[in-house]
Amino acid sequence: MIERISLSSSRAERNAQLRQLFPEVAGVDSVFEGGRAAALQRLRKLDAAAYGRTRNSLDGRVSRLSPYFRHGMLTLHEAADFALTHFKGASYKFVFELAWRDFWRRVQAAYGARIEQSIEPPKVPIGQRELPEDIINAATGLACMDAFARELVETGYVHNHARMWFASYVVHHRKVDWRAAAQWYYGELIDGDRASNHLSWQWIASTFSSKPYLFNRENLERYSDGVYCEQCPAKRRCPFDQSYESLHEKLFSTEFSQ
Amino acid sequence: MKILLVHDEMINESLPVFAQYPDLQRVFVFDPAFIAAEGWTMKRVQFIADGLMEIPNIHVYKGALTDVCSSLSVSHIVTQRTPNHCISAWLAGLTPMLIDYVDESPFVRYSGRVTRFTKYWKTVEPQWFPKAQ
Repeated sequence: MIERISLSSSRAERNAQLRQLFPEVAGVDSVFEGGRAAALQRLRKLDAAAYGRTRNSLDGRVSRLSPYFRHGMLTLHEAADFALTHFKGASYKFVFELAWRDFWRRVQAAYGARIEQSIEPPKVPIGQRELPEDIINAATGLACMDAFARELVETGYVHNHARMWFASYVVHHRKVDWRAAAQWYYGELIDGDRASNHLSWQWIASTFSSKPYLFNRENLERYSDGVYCEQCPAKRRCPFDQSYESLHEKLFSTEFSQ
Repeated sequence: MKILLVHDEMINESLPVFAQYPDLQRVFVFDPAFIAAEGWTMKRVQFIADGLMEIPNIHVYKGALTDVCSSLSVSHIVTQRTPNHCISAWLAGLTPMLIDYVDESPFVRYSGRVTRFTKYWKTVEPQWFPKAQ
């Protein structure tokens, strides 16, 4: 059964139309407007120099161009050209991060569907638990992780640093099988491609990197300006409030990882 | 019939493949089985549809890719090459149909191994930031 679709020119009507056409597809409406025009508009607002200085902070001047890269609405080359033309050497960090996306695609070209499995043995014990409901439902009781999960589901976009913290929590603290977590995360993203998403989860897990990615409360508090810790119901028993040495010992000792 | 099959990594009329084949009928297919396999949510479908609205003369279908091609009597497809194995597997369902791939513009020239990013970046960095002589 096939159907030729005449999409409405009104975005609101079109979104409703798509809901009717695909009732089995769940989720909220897109807060990002897609398309080449929206991509170029966002590119023109890029401050690559500020990006370089502030990109690690959740309120930093990140580009939010990734959904447009993912769907070809803007190319990595165009963005790098723009950044270099307007910001010269100050665009280094921005172009460097674009290169990560290119690198991941090249890995996908080399490995194909094998990127959905661990490419290398993990460098630390990792778990194989199913993805728990409390993570999906943003009900872990950790203000930061629950906010990151809500943002993912509601917008399909999450700041890169928050993605790394979240993945590290899910894989190393909760011992969830990275493959299950990556697939759920991928589905919720609007910028998700298996190359960037799955391989980044592998980088966190240490199945495509030389060590696991860990963070502690000091790091999260610094780059989130403490907004989550202030209101966190678990702030007196924060699992991240430790030195990196203690975290490593706690998370990867044989006893804990069983 | 020969068509330009627009997949979900090429929602942009300014990409080279569109200029290279300006006369081919442009076709995009929302394939429910593909969407389900990908696990996409509605926001992604809507985001893609926004982009499709900007591509002139594109025919958008809902249905299985093989059924759409069959009903249009498609015998030859042109599309953009991709390393995305999911799209490749989706297109493989059309075998033995003739498919021509047009390369996307590369970000850098690189033919080395892809083991660690640092090795890759060390090689390609001068293409964007030439070293001072």
